[in-house]
Amino acid sequence: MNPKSIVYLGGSNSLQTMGTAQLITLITGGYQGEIYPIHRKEKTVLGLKAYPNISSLDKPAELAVIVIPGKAIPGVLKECGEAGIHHAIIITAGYGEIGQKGASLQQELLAIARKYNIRFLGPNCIGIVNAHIGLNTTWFPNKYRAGKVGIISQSGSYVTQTLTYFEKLGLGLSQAISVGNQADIDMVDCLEYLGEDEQTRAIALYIEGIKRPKAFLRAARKITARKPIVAVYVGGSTAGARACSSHTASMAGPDGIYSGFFHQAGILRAGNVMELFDWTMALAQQPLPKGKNIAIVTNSGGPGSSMADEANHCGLEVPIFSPALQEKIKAITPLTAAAVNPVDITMNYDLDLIYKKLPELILQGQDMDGLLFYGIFGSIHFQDKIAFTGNPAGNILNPMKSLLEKACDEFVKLPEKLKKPILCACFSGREDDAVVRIQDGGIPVYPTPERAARAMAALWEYATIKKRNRDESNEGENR
Amino acid sequence: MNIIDKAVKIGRTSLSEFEAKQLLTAYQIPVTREALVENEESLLKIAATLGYPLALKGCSADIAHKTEKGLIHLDIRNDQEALTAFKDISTSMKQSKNTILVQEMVQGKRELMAGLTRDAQFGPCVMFGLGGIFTEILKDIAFRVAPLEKLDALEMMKEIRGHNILTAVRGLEAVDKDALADILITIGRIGLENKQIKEIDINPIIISDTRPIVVDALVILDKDQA
Repeated sequence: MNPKSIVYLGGSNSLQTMGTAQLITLITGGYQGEIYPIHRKEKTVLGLKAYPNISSLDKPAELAVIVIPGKAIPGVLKECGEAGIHHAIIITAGYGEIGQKGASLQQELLAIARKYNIRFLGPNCIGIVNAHIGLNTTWFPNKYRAGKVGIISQSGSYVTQTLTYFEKLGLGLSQAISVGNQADIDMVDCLEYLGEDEQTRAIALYIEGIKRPKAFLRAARKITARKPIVAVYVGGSTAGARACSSHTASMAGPDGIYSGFFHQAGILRAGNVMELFDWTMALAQQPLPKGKNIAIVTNSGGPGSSMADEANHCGLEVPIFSPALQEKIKAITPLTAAAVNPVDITMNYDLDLIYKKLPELILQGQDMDGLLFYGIFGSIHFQDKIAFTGNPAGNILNPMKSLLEKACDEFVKLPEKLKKPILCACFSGREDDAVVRIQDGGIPVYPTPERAARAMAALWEYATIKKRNRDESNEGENR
Repeated sequence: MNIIDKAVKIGRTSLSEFEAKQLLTAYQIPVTREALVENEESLLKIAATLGYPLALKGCSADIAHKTEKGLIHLDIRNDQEALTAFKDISTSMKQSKNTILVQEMVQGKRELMAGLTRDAQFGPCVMFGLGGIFTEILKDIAFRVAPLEKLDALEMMKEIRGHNILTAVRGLEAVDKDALADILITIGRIGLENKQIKEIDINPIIISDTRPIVVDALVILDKDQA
């Protein structure tokens, strides 16, 4: 995942091949290492010096990325072995996933790799992303943010086509691995790797089948004692199972058994990919709640009620504040506000109150374990109004922007300061400068109130798993 | 296990209820007190030992789903009722040699179930859920992959929607969860240690005061694992 240099097989100067597209993302992604394209005829490929074959490469390389037709791969793999390249990513498809003939070709690759001591990812995968060194071997664009969520997927699409979705959601990626057919390196190896990776604070798994269940369970248990894992499993229903066997050559077990298995492993099971990324985003960035009492601050009744309702559905509590706390809240909020929980501050624009005083007041006591927040309004919402009044926009907007930035910066410091999680919801996305400021500051902002509430429930669920693991280790030998 | 080996060797695909209970007993899972009888004389002798009320069941490895075939008579109160039930079941079984299981009636309002299934990926998996007629109606079940640790067993009890049935409800005492956990853990062990066992259905497990007792059990064998 951290190669200093890469040999690339399958790139050319023709845009018609996938290999070329992937080489372009590799080159433009900000990767600082060396890239050596291999091409039989061309002297240069996409402006890089090309080599006719691996043996003619006079420099050492650490990784081979292989996007060439299958029949040439065994030869290339041998060349890699002879040149001392011990890691490869085989993107090419047409192996275990297509049946018996493909499976025996896959076995052939594995035999060569074993002989030359090569570890390889794939075949039939889309490659890897290591955001912290700008390495992206996939063919999707490079506009994504480096962050703390690590992804391992049996579908290449979830580590490539999702990159633009992550950008909109505000999710930052640490590393992403498409495991493909898992002929050599499998999900367990990747789990162990991300378990150790410092940049990765939460792991998202997309699973269609598990090849080494016992080793998987051992690895996952060890990791979930200190780092959260969320998984989506597809294949439980008959339709899903059918889609699976024609996609990646996996066997899908029944839904209920997977649920049980995930429980045993301490893995949170998300119902769909939306939850998978929602939850890992919260888990990667926010402290865990110590209990399930959640406070809600909103500037509008409806979204606050939605948050409270969903929180209750997912097993959280939204208790009425103590009289003492209610008094304190009333003392600093206008008369129109409800001070019970949810706190409804109505359309108040006292930034210091909304983003600092109120959350701090509510979270600093023992009663509340986390905060759900609705009511982010950036300057975008005022632009047209200011323009309509005929004021030169800059005069009012610029001071407003800077006040807002300051308020958001204070707000994002609160979780760490108070050791309690805050999650937000806002119907505006990153077109809103306040949403950007808060997301980039480390507090997730979800597109709907319910999604924020469910993510909070995921934080609590993981907190109980972590506690369970601790209790378990305290019980000692007989466990 | 001797019972299993013998059964598999002669090509049988399941154990009789009595054999299944012997298997469970060998693994220290609490089952009903019971005995097999073949004639009226031994029936009355066993009845005297076990004490009424009793249940009589037609017992053979070929008979699963005994309820539907009229092979079960429950809540038998005296010798007279016992003899009538014996006759009825013998007629229904239509076999040359009638083997009938005489069994204590376990008193308890709560019925649970446990089972074993083999998954192609995960191997033996233990199932737990609501028992009796609710098993199929509500499908309120949880799975764990064997081997189970105590924590797994306790958590799967919490996982079913009807988990409150295990607490002290409506004047009933809370279920002995340790005893129930032992049963679940042991079923996993049975699956791991006996390749010839394909599936197990233990249904119902009746909660007698606080104690879970296996009242009926079905063991399906895999003759290819002989």
